[in-house]
Amino acid sequence: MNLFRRRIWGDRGTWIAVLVATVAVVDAWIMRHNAPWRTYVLIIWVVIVAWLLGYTELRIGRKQIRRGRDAMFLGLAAFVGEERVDPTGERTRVWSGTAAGALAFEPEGIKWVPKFGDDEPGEISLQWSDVYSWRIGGVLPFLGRASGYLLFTLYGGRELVFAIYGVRNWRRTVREAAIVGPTLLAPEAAAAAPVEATDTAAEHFAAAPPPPAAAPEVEYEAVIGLECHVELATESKMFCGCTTTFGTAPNTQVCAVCTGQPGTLPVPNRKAIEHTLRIGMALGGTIAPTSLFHRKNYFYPDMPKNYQISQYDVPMVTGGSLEYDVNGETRRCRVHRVHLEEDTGKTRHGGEGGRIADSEHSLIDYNRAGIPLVEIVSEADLRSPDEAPAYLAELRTLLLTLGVSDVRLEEGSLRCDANISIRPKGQEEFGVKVEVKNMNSLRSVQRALAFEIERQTEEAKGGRTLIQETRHFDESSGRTIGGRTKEFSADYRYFPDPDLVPLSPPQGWLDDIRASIPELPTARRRRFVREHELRDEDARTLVDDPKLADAFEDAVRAYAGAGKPIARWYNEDLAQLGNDKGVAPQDVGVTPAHVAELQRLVDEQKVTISLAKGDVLKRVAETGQDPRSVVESSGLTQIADEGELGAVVDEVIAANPDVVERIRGGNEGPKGFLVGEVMKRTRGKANAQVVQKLLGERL
Amino acid sequence: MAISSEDVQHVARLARLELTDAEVELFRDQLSAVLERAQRIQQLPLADVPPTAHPVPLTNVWREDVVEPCEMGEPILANAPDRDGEFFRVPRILEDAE
Ligand SMILES: [Zn+2]
Repeated sequence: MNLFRRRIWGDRGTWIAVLVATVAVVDAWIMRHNAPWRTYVLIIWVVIVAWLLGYTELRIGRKQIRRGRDAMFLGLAAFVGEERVDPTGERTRVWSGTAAGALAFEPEGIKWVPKFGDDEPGEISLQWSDVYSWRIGGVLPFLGRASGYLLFTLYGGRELVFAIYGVRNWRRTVREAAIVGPTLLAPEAAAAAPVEATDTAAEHFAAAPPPPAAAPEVEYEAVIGLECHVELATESKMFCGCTTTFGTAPNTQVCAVCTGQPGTLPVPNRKAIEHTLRIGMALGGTIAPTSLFHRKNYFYPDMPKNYQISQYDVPMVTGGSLEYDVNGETRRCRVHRVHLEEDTGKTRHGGEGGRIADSEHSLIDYNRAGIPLVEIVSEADLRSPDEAPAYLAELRTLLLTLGVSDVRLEEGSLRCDANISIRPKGQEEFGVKVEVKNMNSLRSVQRALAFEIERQTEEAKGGRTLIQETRHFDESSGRTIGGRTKEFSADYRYFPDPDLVPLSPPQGWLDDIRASIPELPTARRRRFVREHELRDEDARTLVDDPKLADAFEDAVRAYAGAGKPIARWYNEDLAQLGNDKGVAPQDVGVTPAHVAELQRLVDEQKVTISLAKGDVLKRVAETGQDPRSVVESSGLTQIADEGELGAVVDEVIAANPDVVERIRGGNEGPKGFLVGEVMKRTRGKANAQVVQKLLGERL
Repeated sequence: MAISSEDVQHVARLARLELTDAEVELFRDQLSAVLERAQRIQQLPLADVPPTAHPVPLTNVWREDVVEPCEMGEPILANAPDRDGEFFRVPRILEDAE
């Protein structure tokens, strides 16, 4: 199992997995013996996992009152507090200090004492029966690559549910396990014993709706659309010859055109137009026979011209769609339009890192202003936060494959805003749309959307009206924050840019571009699965990085054999090596020809597989030497010669008479120990099958 | 179609222009005259005429993706109303102002 070939110890996700497995076993044992403390074992387990995951949320009467570690303590206290009686009758105070307050364990209940007198009620005496739900969850990193969502929900005194969502490498096993339960009490019992709220808590949270009753609730679904901005990979800017190099000193890549000096004339970059057309074709969109550049007028100093050149009513591409996989299912999101525009400059506000602008002023660097930018607007076809990162990852792979962008999230070359609304399930028309901005990674997109859905659902269930607004995602708190309500809606006064004539790409050029589009990721994945008999996830890992997929194909060609062992080299051994060095698997210094040669050496039994994947690989990566000469020059050649190995086997047998005795007595177990001894003496070079055979003969 | 003083004020605000009442009146009348002229064109049978985005009968003017020396940073910065080292310095930007 490849799990153990990777260096996984110390990986947080692995620990969680081990923990989950251990507790599952312990729990099964307790179940069998019908032990009464099963509940407590579960709680301890939940708390440990919560600590590792770091996301907790506590709701009282469906009103979320706490998030983060505070919620964990409070929830725990409420849960155990109900049954806790101080035997001495004395007031014992147990403080669990957190940033926002502390918990006091007292005979009459648990008290929450806030440290800061902000908007908290002075003291809350909280009983478990007040709690609607205590939810613990978070992203589950696994093997540094896969990620999933682990969520526990402990409903007030009734049931515990936990589920693991969308773990990529685990998908098959975990989804089938799709662990629901264990249940503390049967759901029927929950219905029979409705949750009662104590008076004090009821007063504090009078505004919140009552705890869930058996009555059916309106179920909402989310409607999500994404707007992605992608910086195109060109040498020069969109309308002038300034270079697009990243990370140079501020305002060193500017000219009269991109700073909007009077009398200058912008001239479009042909490559950028070509890239946009290529994206449109790959998405299956319709290329407009004629399209126009417009001026989008606004006053914000990130554009020196006071307008951004963009496209308005006639974009270069309309329609199309993108297919992506989410939780093992293939979905399709339609694309509304793709248009070409120019990027803006970067502003620094007071309080930001790096060079600090004072609070009265902002600082501006126009190096990015005018870099060609493509905007890809999806239709509102996404229905859950999980779909957004899946869509974005697929889009990223597509753009990389097309070679139109480097798609570096950290350099801001792929940015994304989301439109999100909710509506009761089954309803046709859309709800009030909220735009979410400032999401800087795939994970923050997912988090922001999950938060927004919860927020909007809560507002709707509380009978409050949602307003159309732009909200900003705050990475540290995981919340979205509403901006000031605008006095009047944005009015950009678009008009055709008189400096730029219409674009009407000639048919011959379009044909050339279409012919130059490489095999697209979806097709390539399917082909890898079909031709090389790879597993879906292995094909995905390779194709996600087009250069990795190219290296893999080169190696398969050089090997002239099955693709499966080659895929394993790239996805496991070179990936591990790359992980250590912080580079991609194809960049560790091992060429496709080397990989083919390594596998051939294994096939020819010139070297054992563990040595090939260990010392030999390491030396090839370090020296760039040919694997065959590495094996030969460093004496790592496999020993399969029965005479030579026989001598070693005899030595081992002679040195371990007690073990031999046990094996002869019918206990086959320690045989592995003897094989290990032989391996040790031959420094791993012995052919295991031959050793087995020789041992069998001699015992 | 005549335009109102409110329309003029709205457009002026979008363009960050401060107009006196007399100016509002002046521009209202001038803009109304321009619009009326345009409206007269609309009375012609134009169903078969595509909207004209550009008066010059040209398409596909573009340049190859070639970097040209752009060492204008210093002179442009020198012309800026305010600077801070190699940065342009502007009055503080409100996060959400668009
Ligand atoms: Zn320039």
